[in-house]
Amino acid sequence: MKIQDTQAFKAMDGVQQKVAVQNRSTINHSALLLKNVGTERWEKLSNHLPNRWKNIVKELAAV
Amino acid sequence: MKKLLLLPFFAILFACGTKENENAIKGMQPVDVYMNLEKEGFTTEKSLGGDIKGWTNKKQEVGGIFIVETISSDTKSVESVRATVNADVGTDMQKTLPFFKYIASLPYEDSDYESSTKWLENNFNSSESDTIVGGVKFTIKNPSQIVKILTIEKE
Repeated sequence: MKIQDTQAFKAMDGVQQKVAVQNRSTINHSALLLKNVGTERWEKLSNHLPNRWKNIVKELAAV
Repeated sequence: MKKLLLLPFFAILFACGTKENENAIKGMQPVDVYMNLEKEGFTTEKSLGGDIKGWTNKKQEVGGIFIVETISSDTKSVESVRATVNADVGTDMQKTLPFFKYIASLPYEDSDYESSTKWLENNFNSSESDTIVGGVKFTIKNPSQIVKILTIEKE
């Protein structure tokens, strides 16, 4: 699944989508991190991420 | 004559088969990252099933956990590497500098060990700082007192 395929991404407006795509590396890394360290530690490490991106990450990691 | 007619076909086939990943860091392969880290005692978890391929190296040490993620859209190239330390409360983060220097020194085409590690030393405690060395962007972030993140990606 790509960032653009997530429901959280589709719910964003055009500018937010553009910013998310520009930061796809951060989002993809975060999804991989969530898969590998679990939700509790991922939450601690992801305080700096915007909530909108966190929702994308959760969808990507769930696949 | 027939063989000559087939030449353009094979030329096109070869060109398609060797299509380069434009987002990749030239001269770096996933195996370069995870095998070197395994030698340093890290475990490796591979996630190769979806559109994004990932390799996660982890090492739990006294003082915190060290994580390195390598990402690409194929299994032969590297688009970005991200190193994270999540330290225990009270840990001196300066002690994690050698780990980050090790990651910043991973070789690639046009890499410059001295430039990247000097920048890292000078900006190790910045809230956020970046530099470009040989067409590759290095970004250091300190989102909290116990979390430090270094990202290496194509400029």
